[in-house]
Amino acid sequence: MSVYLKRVYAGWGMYWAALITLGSCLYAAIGVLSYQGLAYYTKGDVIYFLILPRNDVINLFLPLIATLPAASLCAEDRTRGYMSLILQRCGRKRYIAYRLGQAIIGASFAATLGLIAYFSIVYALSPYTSAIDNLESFKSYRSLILSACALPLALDTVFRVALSAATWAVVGVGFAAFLGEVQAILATVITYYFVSQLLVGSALNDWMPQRVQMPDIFTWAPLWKYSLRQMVELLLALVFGGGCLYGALGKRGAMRP
Amino acid sequence: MKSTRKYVGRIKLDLLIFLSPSTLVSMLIICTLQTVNYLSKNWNSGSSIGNVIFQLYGGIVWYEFITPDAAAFWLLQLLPCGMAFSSFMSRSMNNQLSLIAYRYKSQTAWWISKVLANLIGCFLIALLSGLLCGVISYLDGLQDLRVTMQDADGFRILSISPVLLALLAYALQMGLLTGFGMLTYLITRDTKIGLLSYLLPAAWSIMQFSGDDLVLVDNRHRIINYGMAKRFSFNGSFGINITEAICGSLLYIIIFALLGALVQQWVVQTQRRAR
Repeated sequence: MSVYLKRVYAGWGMYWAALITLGSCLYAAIGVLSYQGLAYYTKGDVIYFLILPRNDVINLFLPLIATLPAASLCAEDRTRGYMSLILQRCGRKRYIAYRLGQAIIGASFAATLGLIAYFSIVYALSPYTSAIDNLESFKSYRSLILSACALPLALDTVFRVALSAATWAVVGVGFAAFLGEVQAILATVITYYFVSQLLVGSALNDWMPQRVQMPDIFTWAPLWKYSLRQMVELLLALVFGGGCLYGALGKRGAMRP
Repeated sequence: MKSTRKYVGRIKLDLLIFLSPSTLVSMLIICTLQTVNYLSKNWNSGSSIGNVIFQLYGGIVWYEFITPDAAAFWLLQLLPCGMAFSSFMSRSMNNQLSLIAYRYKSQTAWWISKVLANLIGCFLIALLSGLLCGVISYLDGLQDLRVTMQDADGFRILSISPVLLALLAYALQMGLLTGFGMLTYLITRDTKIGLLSYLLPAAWSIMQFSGDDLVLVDNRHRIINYGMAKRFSFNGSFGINITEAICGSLLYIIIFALLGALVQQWVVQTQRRAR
């Protein structure tokens, strides 16, 4: 188990991905602050900054965050030339399960790490506990900005971003079964952008994979619909990633030693 | 004469690696889908072929809201070159193949041949993309390679120069980004960091101009391709003369090439000391 995880956390890819997550969240937050100033957002509405990563610059970098940690491990195995030994030791099915699992763990852990760092900064610096002296409408959702209410929302954001990252990491594994390490990352980025672009503005908008579905917290819309969509996306990605890897390890596959 | 032929042969080989099947396939997919996506929009009907190429490869595109989609559009245009660059790094410059550098008389000559091949490759990608975009537009029934622009006296004229300048801007931006990526790879010898040093500045240059539009106020932003717009805006709208802009881009490319040559010189010195 330790060796299984070591390949994920010992590489620098996961930390780069966490850094990109943090950077993209901060970029959006700083952009908002430089635009209107903190006072505009009702003295630093912490909820606003907590939901900011759900639908902003982070979506641009999501495929990178997903694939950098461990999605291209199978391409690395192929170039190192130890495939026959690895397969002899753990078998084809276990190998597929390991690589998919490592990709999911790496991507979700990197996204979680980056978001936790971002939320810590928001919690530490956002003066949402200071005296509220403006905006009548603010009173209507005042209770929500208390830390007790904001924390579940922060956790929900982490869960959804991590799940999206895991989905695209598995897609990356599928590409890495046939392409080189760096090409697999780029192929995932290209697919991600195209799938997003093709679905924008259509009836399938709700299925848009790059956008973390943001539940409308102010109308208390149920969350299960969003979670269900994300789970279906992950399942589809697992079918793609697992299928590609299974095919590549087949008799005439690209990964067969 | 013999040595010239030898160098040309090496550059040809590098170009073959640069324009690998994965590059050509990604270019074909991206260019076709982007052009079809553009042509399928009702508000773009009646454009000329030149207009489509100009809009897709260097024109200033306005988006009402700042969304990842707008930035993703521009990043997608830079990804065929990213694919070429990744195969160039892993096949032509990687740890094993850099041993070939010993066949050159000097390490600097090896580096210069890589820079040249990379630049020529960027221009070829720009040319092929423009050509493919033009062919698809022609098949859609569009005509005329010229676009409407204002001359110095304010008259509306038809000209092909904006289209050519857009493609030049596209090629030079790719050359600039890959130059930086190659330099980073030369120092770190890590293909993933090399790729990140291509992608992150590309994204940064795009996002940098997702500025606020104070006239439209509140959450309305414009995203344009900052890198190109800053250097190749028309009629001095960004206050930069086009000749000056081309020289500026070339200057950056030359600076990256010189820095790479310095790194190679340092490598040679270290090797001599080790001997």
